[in-house]
Amino acid sequence: MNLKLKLTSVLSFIIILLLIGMTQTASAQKVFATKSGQIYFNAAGALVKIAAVNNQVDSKFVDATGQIIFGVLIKGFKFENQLMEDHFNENYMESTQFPKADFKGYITNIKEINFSKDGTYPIQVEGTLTIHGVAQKITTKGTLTLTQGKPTIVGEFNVKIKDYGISGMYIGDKIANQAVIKLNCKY
Amino acid sequence: MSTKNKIIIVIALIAAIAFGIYYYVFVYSSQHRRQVQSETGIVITSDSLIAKYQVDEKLANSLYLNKAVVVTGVILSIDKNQEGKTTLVIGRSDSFSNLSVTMISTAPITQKVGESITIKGLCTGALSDVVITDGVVE
Repeated sequence: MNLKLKLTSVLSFIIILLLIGMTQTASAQKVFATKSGQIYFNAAGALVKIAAVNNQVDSKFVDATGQIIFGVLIKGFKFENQLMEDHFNENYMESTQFPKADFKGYITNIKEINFSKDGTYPIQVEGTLTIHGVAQKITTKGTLTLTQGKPTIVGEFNVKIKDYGISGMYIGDKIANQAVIKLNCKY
Repeated sequence: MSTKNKIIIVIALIAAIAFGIYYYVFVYSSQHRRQVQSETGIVITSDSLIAKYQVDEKLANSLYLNKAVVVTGVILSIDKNQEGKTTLVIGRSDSFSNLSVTMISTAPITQKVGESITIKGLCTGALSDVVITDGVVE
């Protein structure tokens, strides 16, 4: 066998190995998704309960990279009080103009999670939260619980309402300056 | 009329107005929620609604966002959300986007996967799917 033929054979072998490796990496990566995650919002002031829940959070994350996204429709937040729900949509969130909020980022310590072992793992999340058309970088913590291999992500963080360009006469009075956001997504 | 009586009437009026506002804001509004089921819905097929959102989301929102819709399509899956309410995915199995419906109650539906269904509910916009809340079977 001449040198050229040998080189060609070696190169072909390396390319095949690389292709097999790429295929295995692609197949090993898993995307977890839900369209019925839950998000809870509380901006209660001193006297009035201002809280709502949305049960249609659309979320996906990739176990290999930790890339994670959440999307939620503002009109899907349900208050106990219809008048509060109307004011929330019309006067504060302006949900006709800004119908959705989303988060795009990464679970930065995804490599510390053993997806083949059930348990509760602390997670750190970094990314961009867009509410009311305004994007802000956020960092928060939460937990990822694996039950029979199925993940549930739970987290809680605060947002300063005025950081997202939301204004209204009762903010800082009947409505708190900061809203508490609680997230619970079963994938 | 004496000054004392005038003061009593003014105080009574202020109290009545304050009670009226309190009742409307905290009692009436809690007990009287929007009843999408009793509204006249925009009749459309799931394929058409999904296509309108895929082509021009802004235009579709101007037509359907926060409106009652009556949508007919084929059930792709039936599930429960984290509150126990029935959820449906309606559309086509080969479609990139479908209709994600959360029913108003936890009661199971009689229709099965693969069957056609007509749902009335509130359109809240689109994420990866077009989203309907407060759904009831028509």
